[in-house]
Amino acid sequence: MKNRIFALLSLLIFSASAWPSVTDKTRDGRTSYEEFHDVFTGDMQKYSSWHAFELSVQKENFRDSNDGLSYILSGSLAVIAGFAGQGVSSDPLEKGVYTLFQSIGIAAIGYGSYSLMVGNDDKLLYSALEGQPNMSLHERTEFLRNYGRLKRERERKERIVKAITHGMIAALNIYTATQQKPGPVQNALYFIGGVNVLATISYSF
Amino acid sequence: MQRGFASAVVFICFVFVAFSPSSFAQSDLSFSRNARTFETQQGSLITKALAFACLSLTVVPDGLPCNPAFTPFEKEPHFDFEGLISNGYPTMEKMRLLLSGNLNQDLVQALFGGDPVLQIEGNAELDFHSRYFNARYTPASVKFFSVVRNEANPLIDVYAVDEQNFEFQSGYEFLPGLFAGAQVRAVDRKYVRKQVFLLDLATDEGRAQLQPQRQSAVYFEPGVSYVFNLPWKPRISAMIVNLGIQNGNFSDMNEPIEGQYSIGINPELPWGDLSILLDYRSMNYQESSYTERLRLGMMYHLGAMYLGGGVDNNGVSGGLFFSLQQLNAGILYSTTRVPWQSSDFFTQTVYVEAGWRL
Repeated sequence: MKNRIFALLSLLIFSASAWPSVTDKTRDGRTSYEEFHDVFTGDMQKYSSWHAFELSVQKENFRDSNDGLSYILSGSLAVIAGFAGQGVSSDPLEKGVYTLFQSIGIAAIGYGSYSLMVGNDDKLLYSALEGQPNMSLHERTEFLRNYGRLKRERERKERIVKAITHGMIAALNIYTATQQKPGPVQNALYFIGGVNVLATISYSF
Repeated sequence: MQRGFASAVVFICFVFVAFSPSSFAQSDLSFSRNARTFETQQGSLITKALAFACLSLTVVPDGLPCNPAFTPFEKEPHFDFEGLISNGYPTMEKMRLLLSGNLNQDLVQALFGGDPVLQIEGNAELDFHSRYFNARYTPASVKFFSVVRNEANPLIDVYAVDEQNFEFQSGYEFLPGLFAGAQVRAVDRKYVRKQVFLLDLATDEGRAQLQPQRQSAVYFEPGVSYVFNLPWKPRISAMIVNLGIQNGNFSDMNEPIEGQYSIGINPELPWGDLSILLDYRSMNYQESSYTERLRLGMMYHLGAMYLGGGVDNNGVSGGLFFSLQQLNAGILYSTTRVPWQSSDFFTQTVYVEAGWRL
């Protein structure tokens, strides 16, 4: 039976690792998540022209302000729920969870405020370029294309570093697992090692 | 927008008909079970809140998607540790003694001589999510429920389960809107599931009825979903579960092959994201009629907050879950008391969950 399980798992793992280039982006360049929620997050096409970039920043601004307010509102609710829950609960575990609610709530308010007031790097880049009236449309587009190329290169390097890091984590956990007695701890270490091997494969494509 | 509204009206009418009081048969076991803990099911806090109506939920924030077809919906790779526990956790040690096979008169008295209802569910899991595959390892998942009925000659209905499992899932968008995937689920559990008279437990032979059994299985479970390119994102999903190889004693606690179906919509709201889901799936082999298999769940997501609610023939549940980057926590209340069934016997359970993301 173990051989069958191994064969089935290997087949699935192999199939999954062969898919990234197809599943990564669907139809109009968006992932399934982005398409379902009607958002853009990591599209490099926005650096192809000044107009595309301007449009993308406008969308991101709208999304940042919407998300920012959502996080501030939900964070406030978490803090209120935390206080209310602690007042009515006597169970120590429940009280612990309500304390976590409050911590998450405060962090969510901070995160929301950051999205609302600061935003991402593209917002900063857009403001900097827009504030240069002497730059022609052509120069801006050339600058953006160069920026996009450098960013792609940086992301590629990031993926290599991530692949190596996950590979090392995998090796360490699998080695530690071999030194353990059979049981839940050994299984957990093999699991962590296994998923890190798969993560290494994913980042390698 | 009009088409989205029309599909929602049809959906809501269907829900009203399906969940009308007359459609439910009164079950004489309604007071001898837990609304959201089932012997062979492992669910996250969110899926429990939704009454397990999650086959059309694209992303489950505190666990693996119920339907492997939705694997490509994962936003970015992450590794999670999640722990869930219900009220009644002081019972955990007694339950472990029962499952160790060392049942003596003192333990019988401790388990069944006090409260008529004892319950506990707890699990700790390691989850890995990515756009290409998900995996989960659960080193410990325990469930226990016992009820003592009939004071004259007490009858005990009990189950105790200690399980380890591993799940691996992958999915792919084959055509625009058409997602398909599969999961492999390996389980290994020690369990007791019996109805015995308390008087019988006075003898060694009687106590032998509660000797733990062992079962292990490997299941291959394919799932599919189609997301219509319409407002409100209507989607239909189907899945086949428990298709695989079983080993050990499955006579007391069976896991038959089953086809499960689901529909879901996400009405457009100015703020947040609302998912309304209706599933046809059973949580244990005792749910024989079609109305017992209907489950309705709703989840509202706003920023860091997930507010979930669900109703089915087993009861109602409502939970609140907050998640921001590394940290998440949630609380859920469930009860077997439903508005359309008047009964003096009911159970209620509080679950808490906390997790850490790497």
